[in-house]
Amino acid sequence: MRDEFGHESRDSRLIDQLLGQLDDDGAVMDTDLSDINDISSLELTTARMQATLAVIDDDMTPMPDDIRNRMYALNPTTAMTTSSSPMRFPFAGFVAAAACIAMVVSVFVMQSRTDTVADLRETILVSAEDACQARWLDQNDPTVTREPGGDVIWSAVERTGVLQICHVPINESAQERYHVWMETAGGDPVLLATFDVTDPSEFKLVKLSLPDEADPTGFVVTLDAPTSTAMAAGTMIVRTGSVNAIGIAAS
Amino acid sequence: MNPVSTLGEVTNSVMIMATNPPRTDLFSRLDDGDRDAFTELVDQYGGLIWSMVRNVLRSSADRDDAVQDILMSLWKNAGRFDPSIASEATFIAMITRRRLIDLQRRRGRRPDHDALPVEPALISTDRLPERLEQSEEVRVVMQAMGQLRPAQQRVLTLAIQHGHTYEQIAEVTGMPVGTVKTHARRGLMKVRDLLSTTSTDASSRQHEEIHDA
Repeated sequence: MRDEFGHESRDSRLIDQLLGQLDDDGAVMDTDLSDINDISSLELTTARMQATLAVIDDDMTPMPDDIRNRMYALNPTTAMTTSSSPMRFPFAGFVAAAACIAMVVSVFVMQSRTDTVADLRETILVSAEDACQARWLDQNDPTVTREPGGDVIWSAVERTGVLQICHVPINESAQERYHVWMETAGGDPVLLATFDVTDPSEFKLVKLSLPDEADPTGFVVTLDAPTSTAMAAGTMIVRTGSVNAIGIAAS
Repeated sequence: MNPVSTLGEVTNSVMIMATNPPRTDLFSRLDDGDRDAFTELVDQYGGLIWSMVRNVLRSSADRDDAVQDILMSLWKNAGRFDPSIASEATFIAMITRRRLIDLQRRRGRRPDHDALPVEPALISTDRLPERLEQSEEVRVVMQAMGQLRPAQQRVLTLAIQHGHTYEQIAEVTGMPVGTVKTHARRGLMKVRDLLSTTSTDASSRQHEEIHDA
């Protein structure tokens, strides 16, 4: 389907884009496709076909229960109306552990409607009067061949923070995940989040919600079984160094 | 609200919010912050979302991330849903497709299939499962797809349902890549034209079947 000059028609490129056939460059080049009046009908057609093909698929299976339960915990409307309670370890009993896992996932992924995790980090750095920073310093994992880049930025007043890290190995999520622990003065480490690394060269950003009961004195990242609920010293990947006050109040 | 993807700009007109009368559908409630609506979204459409994600991504971590990403996108864009233009299932499929395509672009790679699938079965209303016989939307779309040439059906099914590249489809079907492109483009436009001649998207009942699947 070429035009009179031998070029592929806009419709053709549009369909390629809708079918995911254009890479980033192609997508950028084709921003002018938005001018085509009937793009809505083509995308609508594709979506209707997709929904129908999914429904008639003999192999269609329900969402697995473990993922479904994690999605329940994601509920952003819950995030807007309730506050997180602290989770301290070790827990006694399976129920508490399961509740913890759900809480960790919800803490990890919840976002406001406007903020990405990167935006949140920027907001803390710029606006939080009590902003603190601790850089990754110590490590004991021999597979970490470079100094892990990144830090943790947080606000004790806002009870929120952002972890960023790079140069740590890719993990196999089915076997083990990275766990983020908050250390407190005299208390047990508190599990704040879990995450996976798929590209060691990229900074991984993780939103952290701080429990109300105590302020952090440091953070530790371990690599443990996905369901691990207690920090094991032998699995420590990195630990933050000294805490620096960097907010307006400190200047 | 911002578009949800690089495709967002091109279809905003599909998702203009209805003004009146007041709506009580799932997405209206979601947009209003109804806590139960999010749970219902997962319950009713988890199967649809999961099947789309599962067909494109193999890594369990990627699937997990994608499902989270899609649900957040649906929540953020709930106010754009217009039931007079698309069914809930179609809206969800549209958002899910966008997120999956964006995810693949960001990662700079194509779907991570372990092995290419066998050629899909041809579309026919004879294939309609008994539980879906009353779904007008499914019947209408299947009838439209059933009017395509067999080669067009195969190409579009592999591209839409399985997220394959033209090159992968060529490998599966043995067709030249250029022929695959032509079938995809002409086939999709033909289905679009066929559907435009039928009644508007009547799939508001479709979510019940998806939920049951």
